[in-house]
Amino acid sequence: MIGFFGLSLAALSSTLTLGFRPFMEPIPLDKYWILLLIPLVAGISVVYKTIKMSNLKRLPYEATVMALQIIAFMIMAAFALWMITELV
Amino acid sequence: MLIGRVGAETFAQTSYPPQTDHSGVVELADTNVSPRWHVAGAIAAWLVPGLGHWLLGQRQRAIILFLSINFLWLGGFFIGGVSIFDRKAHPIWYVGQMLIAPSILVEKWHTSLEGPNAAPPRPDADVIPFKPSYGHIHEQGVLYTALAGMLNLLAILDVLYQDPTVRSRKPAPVAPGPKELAAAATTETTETSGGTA
Repeated sequence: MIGFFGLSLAALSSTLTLGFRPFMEPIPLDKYWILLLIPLVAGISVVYKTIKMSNLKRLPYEATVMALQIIAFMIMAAFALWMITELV
Repeated sequence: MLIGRVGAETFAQTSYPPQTDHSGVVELADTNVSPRWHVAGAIAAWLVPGLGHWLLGQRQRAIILFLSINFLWLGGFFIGGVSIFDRKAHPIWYVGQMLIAPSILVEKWHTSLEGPNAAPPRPDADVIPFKPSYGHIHEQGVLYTALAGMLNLLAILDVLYQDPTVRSRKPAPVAPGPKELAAAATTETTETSGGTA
């Protein structure tokens, strides 16, 4: 029998029962941990701007700009550190 | 009367809310903000992120803070699992985590799962109580939850003392340009000449 996305119900059932237990064990994303920084930066920007701004009408724009600035500076810092480790 | 940004003592000595707007005196647009320390609101914000702003009547800000701070906290909890709340392994990070009250409960739960008083696993148990996280995933989980706590500290401080002159300030009046000045001069001249005639 075909289940979700072509998976058999048996395979789906075994994945759900034997696999990941939320909050009791870490998510299996060791290879992609760097991508987890993006929602972290987005959350920081939203919270900071929510507290900082007196008028929340421009919150989406301001939070997006701040998130992009943080990511850009993180990339620049990473590149600078990489240059130091490679050249020095 | 209220001039500029002042402390709580000055608020206590002056009438509130200020109504005039002359020579630097701020007129408040929203008079619902009470000029005092909100200790109960700060404690509420520590217990539930966003609840302090909700109690102050800032509902939109409260909902955004509740969703975003809990997104970070639950996200970190989800990423690293229960083992990221460990007071003995990383006490400094735990200080950041405990700035959201439920972190303390989760840490107690984690301790009960692995501590000396933890119940021994049954021989027929086919799963361990929890699986600790390591490496980058553990770091990410700790980072998410500790940053959520520190951002909640900002929210707590924001609730603890609300300066009404900051958040409720009306937009500053725009200085008249040359066209506006010329138009005003023309109007004044017309009125003057009409009055003499």
